[in-house]
Amino acid sequence: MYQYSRFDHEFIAERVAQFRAQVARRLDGSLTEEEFKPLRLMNGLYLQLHAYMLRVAIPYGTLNSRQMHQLAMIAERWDKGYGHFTTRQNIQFNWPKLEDVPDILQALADVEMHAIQTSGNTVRNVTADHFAGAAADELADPRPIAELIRQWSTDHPEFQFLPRKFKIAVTGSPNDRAVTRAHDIGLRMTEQNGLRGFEVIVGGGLGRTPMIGKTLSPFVALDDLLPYLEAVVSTYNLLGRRDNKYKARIKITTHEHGIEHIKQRVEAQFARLNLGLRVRICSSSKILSSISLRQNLNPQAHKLRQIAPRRKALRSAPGWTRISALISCPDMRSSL
Amino acid sequence: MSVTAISKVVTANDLRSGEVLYLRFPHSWTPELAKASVIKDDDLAKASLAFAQGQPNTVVGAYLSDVIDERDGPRASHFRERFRAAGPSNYRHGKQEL
Repeated sequence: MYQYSRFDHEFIAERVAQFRAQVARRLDGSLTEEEFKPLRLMNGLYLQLHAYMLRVAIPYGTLNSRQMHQLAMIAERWDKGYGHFTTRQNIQFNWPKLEDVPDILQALADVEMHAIQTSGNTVRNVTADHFAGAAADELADPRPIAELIRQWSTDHPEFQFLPRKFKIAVTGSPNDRAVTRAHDIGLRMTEQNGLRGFEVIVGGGLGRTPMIGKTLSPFVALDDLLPYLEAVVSTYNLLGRRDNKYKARIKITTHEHGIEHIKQRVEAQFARLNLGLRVRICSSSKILSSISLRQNLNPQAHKLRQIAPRRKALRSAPGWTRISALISCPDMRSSL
Repeated sequence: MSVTAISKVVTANDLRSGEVLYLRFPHSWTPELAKASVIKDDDLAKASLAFAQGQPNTVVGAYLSDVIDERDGPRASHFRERFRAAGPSNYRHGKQEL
């Protein structure tokens, strides 16, 4: 499994501390509900019909036993002894008390989990085939790709206020167990001339207006995946409707403008992004090898630990360059 | 004094727990709709709502809700409010575990 770097730990610890202070200010009256609401939603905390609800992301549906035990501990200590696993690989706690939520987030952070971007108009938890890594029909395990996308999309400065929530699913199999055609972006692993890549599907969804996603590109090479995703989401960010939340999802944008128009705009944006990059940091495949190494090797021995301070410094850099740099391959560090 | 066409109660969610609450005169909150104060006067409804909205450190999202005033207490007239008053019904938790 992916293991948090020092940067990840520091980032999550900072967010927990921030939220703890925000809750304290809400309880002592320094913050109004209007001021507090967007802050709690950024941390996955809803106020629903009967109680608060905390949604916790389980990236690509992968949990280790320590994390599972921690979820059980949270349910028993701060909730009613149970949680609700969702179809998009989250877990929801339905009865937390507001003042306990910072402690719950800390308990999650202790096992490398969080509730960031599980609500709000952001890129939500990246999901994958639930048989990923064990499926006989898969070309490759899609979870390193999902992790790559998770890192790219988490705290992405351009995509914190999208027209509406945005859901991405990845599969490595021809049999679509990840329901990619019912996602804002669905990625289906494929190969072309011996090169690994993805069919990119957009505009699927369920809810009040169910739609089957349409193929935006039959093949995007792995090395182009992040800038291509950046192009899709930034196109939607500009084109998506903000006047009516029921018309704001990308499925409606695609339906209203047509897949060909969306494709033209995405291709143009993709070209601009590639031209506009000050530094082509490294390819997705190199990033992936870093993630894969990270999953398998002793973290003490891994070079990624050395770049944590640099990752902090790069947070102000533009676009996907920034995120790529966060998880960049060691041989490109000198060019930054 | 103007009489409202429909009886009302003031309802909100508890800031700390999120639980559904109802205003009970003069200045307290109850989780039970049956114990809520029923309002039949427009001016009193406005004043009660203003009182509730003036307690942001106690409750969240206060509003007036229509009820049917019956002998054993008010009953919610809208199905959403009936859900709020009764709590989850899939099994006994929330208000139904009390």
